[in-house]
Amino acid sequence: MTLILCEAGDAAAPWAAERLRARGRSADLVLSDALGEAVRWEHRVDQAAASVRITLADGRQLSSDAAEPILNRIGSIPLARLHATAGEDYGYAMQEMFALYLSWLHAWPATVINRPTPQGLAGAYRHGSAWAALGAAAGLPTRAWAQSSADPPETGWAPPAAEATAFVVAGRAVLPPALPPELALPCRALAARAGTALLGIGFARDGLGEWEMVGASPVPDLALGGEPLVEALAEALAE
Amino acid sequence: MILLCGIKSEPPLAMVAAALRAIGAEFRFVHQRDVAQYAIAWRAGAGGVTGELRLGRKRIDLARVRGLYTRTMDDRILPELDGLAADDPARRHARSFHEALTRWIEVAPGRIVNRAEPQGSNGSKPYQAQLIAAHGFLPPPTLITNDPAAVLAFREEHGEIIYKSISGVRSIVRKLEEADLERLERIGWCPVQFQKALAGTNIRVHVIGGAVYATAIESTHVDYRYANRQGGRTRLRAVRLPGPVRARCVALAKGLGLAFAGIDLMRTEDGDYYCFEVNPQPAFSYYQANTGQPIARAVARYLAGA
Repeated sequence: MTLILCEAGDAAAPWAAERLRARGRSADLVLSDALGEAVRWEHRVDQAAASVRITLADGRQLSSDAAEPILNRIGSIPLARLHATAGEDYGYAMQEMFALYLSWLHAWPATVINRPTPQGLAGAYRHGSAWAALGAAAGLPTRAWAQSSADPPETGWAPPAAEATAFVVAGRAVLPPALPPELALPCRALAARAGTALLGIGFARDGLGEWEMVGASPVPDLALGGEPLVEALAEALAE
Repeated sequence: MILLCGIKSEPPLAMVAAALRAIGAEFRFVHQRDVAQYAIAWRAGAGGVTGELRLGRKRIDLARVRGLYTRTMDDRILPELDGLAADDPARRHARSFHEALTRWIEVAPGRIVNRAEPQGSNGSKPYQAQLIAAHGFLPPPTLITNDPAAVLAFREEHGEIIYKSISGVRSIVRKLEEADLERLERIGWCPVQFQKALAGTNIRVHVIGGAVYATAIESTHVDYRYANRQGGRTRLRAVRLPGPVRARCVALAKGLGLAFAGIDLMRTEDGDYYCFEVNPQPAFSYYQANTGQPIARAVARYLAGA
């Protein structure tokens, strides 16, 4: 059994569930909203280990005592219940719940793809400049990043359009036929530097028609990777 | 060249500036209140990170910056911007400058105290506790729950317990008193963090590079940071940690990616060392002022590569 944690509008999650099931692996979707409506939380940390028990409103339990692998695509904490109950403490409650999610997902004793980071619950979201620097350091041909105080402050959070997406899953590179295979090694190096088990790496052609990295995401559109990506995911989740 | 980013008069920044002067290191303030006179432009690519910072008439080649200490405040609440609309050009410029500066700091080579990314672990106490435990320190027994019955069972198991925020927001420690039990049902809508109340000596450890400064704290209050404010008393004195504990502190700061860290320990009567948290932006001036420990000099020497 694989638990797929996802947002309600995340089309890639049910797609992955269906493709994993087609390979004989059961998969259960747990929507972020269902976690937000959980009726009981118990998360412990001590010198021996950390544990978690979450009881959802529909009776399902997520327990570290019977931990299943998780494909984690949670983008943000569910806010509806907090919004309804927290009043003026809403901002504080939001920070508290993010901190709790970060901790319990880190503590989960089975495979989690991706583990959370303080920069993102499903792996680190990074500014375009950080991806450019990481990509160059990993040996990828990378579109140079330029920024100045004359630019709008919002610059760099929206990823530029990619013409092709490479994937790395637990150290294994999955490249579409359009991309040259020699990109596999630096793609793996980038995922290692980024500290993410699953990474989608966007490429576009430069003015000379050469491929260059233009961005990356820890929550990529899985359907773009097709069956080779599902195969790699199924293997990684079985470890 | 070393850059000090923040407000010139803020004690930690001012102390490091004085220490840099004392060792003859070249440095410049990036004083946020002068942001209207500042500009930055930079580029990252196959050739590395290049660019220029303009501080009024002074131009600084970013490739010359070898060290940077940042304690910037939220630029949106700078006094110079008070009363200006969100789309006012001065406010937009301040935001753009700080955004471009912050992004450059994250990718710039050199000695950065501290980059933003590794500071993130402090935003979740139980997450950071798991990282701390992996480095060999004991975390206090911790329960996070929205179930009052679980809290009562935890108190039965551990005796006196405290509660505090899970995140880095409103991080004030308080004992769970009998009177609190009457409102315990209110945790149902949002889980709360409880911990066993430990008895022993609080020790703040500042780690900068390989240098370690430990300060023992004696206080009349559970959370010594707020003792004076709450009518109590706190006394600080420099202490020397056992070699293995010092080494563990250095390894912990390095493991979290922090060049400079404030590590909060408690030594129990049994000689065990518990770690409560690692502060990635330690306001060390309070400890230096009360003990004479040369923490600012250590930060200055680290920035200068001395």
